Amino acid sequence: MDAFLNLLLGFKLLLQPINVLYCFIGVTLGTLIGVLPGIGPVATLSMLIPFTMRVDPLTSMIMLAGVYYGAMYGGSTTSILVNIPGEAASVVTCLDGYQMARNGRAGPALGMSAIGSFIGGTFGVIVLMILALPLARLAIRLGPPERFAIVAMGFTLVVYLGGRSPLKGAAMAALGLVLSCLGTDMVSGKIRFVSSVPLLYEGIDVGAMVMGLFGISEVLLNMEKSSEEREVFETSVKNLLPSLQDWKRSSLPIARGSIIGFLLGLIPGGGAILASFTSYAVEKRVSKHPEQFGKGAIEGVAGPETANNAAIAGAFVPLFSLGIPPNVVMAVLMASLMLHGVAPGPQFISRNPDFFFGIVASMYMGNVMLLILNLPLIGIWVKILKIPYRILFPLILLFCVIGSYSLNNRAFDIAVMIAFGIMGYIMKKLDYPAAPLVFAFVLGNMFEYTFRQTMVMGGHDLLFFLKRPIALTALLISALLIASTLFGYFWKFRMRVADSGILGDD
Amino acid sequence: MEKKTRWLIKFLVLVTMLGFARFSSAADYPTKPIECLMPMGPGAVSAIGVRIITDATAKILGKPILQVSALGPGGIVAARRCAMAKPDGYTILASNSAIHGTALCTRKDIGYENSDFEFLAFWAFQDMGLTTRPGAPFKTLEEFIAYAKENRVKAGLMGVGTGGHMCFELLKLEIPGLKIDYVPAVSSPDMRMLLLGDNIDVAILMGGSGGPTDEFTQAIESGSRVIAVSSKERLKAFPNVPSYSEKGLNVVLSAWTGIVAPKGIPKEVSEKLKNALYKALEDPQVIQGVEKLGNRYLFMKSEEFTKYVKEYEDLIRRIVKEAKIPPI
Repeated sequence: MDAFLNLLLGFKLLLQPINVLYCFIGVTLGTLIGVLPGIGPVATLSMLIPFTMRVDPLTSMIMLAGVYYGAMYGGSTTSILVNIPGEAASVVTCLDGYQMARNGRAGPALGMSAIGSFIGGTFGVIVLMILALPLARLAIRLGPPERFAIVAMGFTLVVYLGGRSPLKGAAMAALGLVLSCLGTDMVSGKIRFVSSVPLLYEGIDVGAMVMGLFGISEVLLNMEKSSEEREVFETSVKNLLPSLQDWKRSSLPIARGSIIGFLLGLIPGGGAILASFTSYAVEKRVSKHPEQFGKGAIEGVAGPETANNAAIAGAFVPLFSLGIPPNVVMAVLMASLMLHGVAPGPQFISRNPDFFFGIVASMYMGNVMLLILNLPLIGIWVKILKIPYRILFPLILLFCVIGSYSLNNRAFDIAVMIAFGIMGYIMKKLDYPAAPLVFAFVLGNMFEYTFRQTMVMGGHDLLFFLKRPIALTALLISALLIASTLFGYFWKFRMRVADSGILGDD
Repeated sequence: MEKKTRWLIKFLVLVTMLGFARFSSAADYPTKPIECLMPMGPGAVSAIGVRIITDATAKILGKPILQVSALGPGGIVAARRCAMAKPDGYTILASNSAIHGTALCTRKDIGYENSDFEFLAFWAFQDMGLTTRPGAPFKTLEEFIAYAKENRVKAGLMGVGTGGHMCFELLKLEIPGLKIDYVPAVSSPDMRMLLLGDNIDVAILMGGSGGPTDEFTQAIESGSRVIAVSSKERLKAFPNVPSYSEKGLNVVLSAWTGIVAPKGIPKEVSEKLKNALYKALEDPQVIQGVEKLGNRYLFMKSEEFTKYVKEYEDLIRRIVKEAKIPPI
């Protein structure tokens, strides 16, 4: 009851014209930067902070938060249309969303992604509103052993992230782990492998990698095809909205995605990327027709898109209730709050209920605004697909080049993108999935440092995990998942050997 | 006029104009935007503090100051770029104690020395406070020391060769027999989570300016205790927290930030730049902004700054040598 009354207070604060205006500006700007490959929420937010200094803290926070979750809505657009993830979290949407677009179903993909984002975001906000403080207590209990175990569990799911062969998926994940080692080790400060290349001291930029692996490689592949094959893709765009069948198939993925997304958003270091990848892997694992994934299964779009928006609401939990930002974007948001003299921390919600509920109310409104904004835009986006490819692909390349430069204001990232583009092209030809590589690359650092933290905490004894029940459970689940994957793999191998008759007919 | 005379006059006019041209470049400084190299990304809190200062300075100089990030551990990439840049007053560096102290003394082959820089203006300290986890069995510095002599204490560390690391090592040098294990943390929020979750016993947090946004304040609100601070005297904002010095321990080590430039800038240009910086740093709005972000504002002009850097470098070199910290 209390929460409801506070929420009404929040809405009252929200409905002042300036707050509504800033909310609208925020979500629109967010959608735009989400759509454009390269520039992301972090850079945009830090550029906006000076502009928010002249308005009061609530208004500025409303706008900045709007930019963040707006970016999650927009990021899937280019993933679906041209296989270029606007955000690292939108990578998984490329897997099935782009295939749906190639089958002429770009409209339903975009629509389901917008709707899933809306449901995920709204669900997340509701949970944030009601359970912020108890959830914060849960978040504190997730120390290094637990976070290591959760990431490890994610790694065991990663083999499901694309392609038919779990072995190839595992190989790409291993490569991703190796690539994540390039650069400075966060713990010892040593520079690994690249001491003669200062441009790589901070490691490979994930944005450049992703634009290359998915976007550039796709352009290279398409250029090989004859123009007739491409014509089919361009002209046959069927319905613009999801069908009843789509709804039925997506409802459970959306439900699961909301929960998975929110919980993973809570974890420091997790966030939208972990949420969307995990949701995809879970959906593929529990699906009755996993072979459809990678060919245009709508569950592969609905689940992850819901998860990444729910993760944003989840990320606000540690920020508001503990004063600890769980990822870089939240850190920038917190900096803007600090500039206004507002300090998130344990007493934050109880001391500033109007602020907290004002933001919560704005997130409801922002999600609605985004849905209203994005659905009609589908018609326009779909028309882009009708542009002849010979005109479209130079534009795609242009946006990618500008986008990769805008990451760090240096041309080196363009070279990185092109290198990964060529690599992605070769990988596609040889049917090696790119998604596990990206997942392992993004989470490799966290995988490693949480383990090292755990080892120091536990006196360098692996048995330390036995003392941490949550971590132990997650690790056991991981072991079971690996075992079942291996079992399935070898079972199929045995079946194939038996069918081929090598072993004789007795 | 004779043809030769005409040529002579043209030649003289040209030479005079060229002479004026060189003259005018110093008097008209700045004629184009100034680049401020940043060792951190544009989203970092410390970047915002720098932006407040550079925006105010730019207004005084009349040309924009653009922030350019050059990322690298310990700020060494940005520092090297500044050291090698042309000393014409159009490149400055938002520098800090890591670049001129901790990273300098713990890393090999970084490509610069402190003598490659001109130290323009010092603007803040970030003090280090020894903070306990909420349920810790020690409530004062003395209790902590006694506890750490008997039991292994888990201390959060932001990385080898950081200011926090130096502070712990200095404490260990002053008080032999402390058993401290370093648990690595990858960011300041990570450090605070470790502390709150009882995964580490103590951590060194940066802050000290007071106010609700200060890391010390936030830690205290979550139930932690700040049991000692690394400034020479007690902090105004935290009068109940003793400094190491007053307890007889020679641990005076705070992180700091300042603006520097490559050595060799022509005197007029350097004076203009410095005066603009000094004026900006005496502006109450700037002071307020800087303090809101958790810094302990302290303004030193160029000569004092240069002297301080020498003292700081000597201190860090001593710690590295005596604590036998291996080079990175």
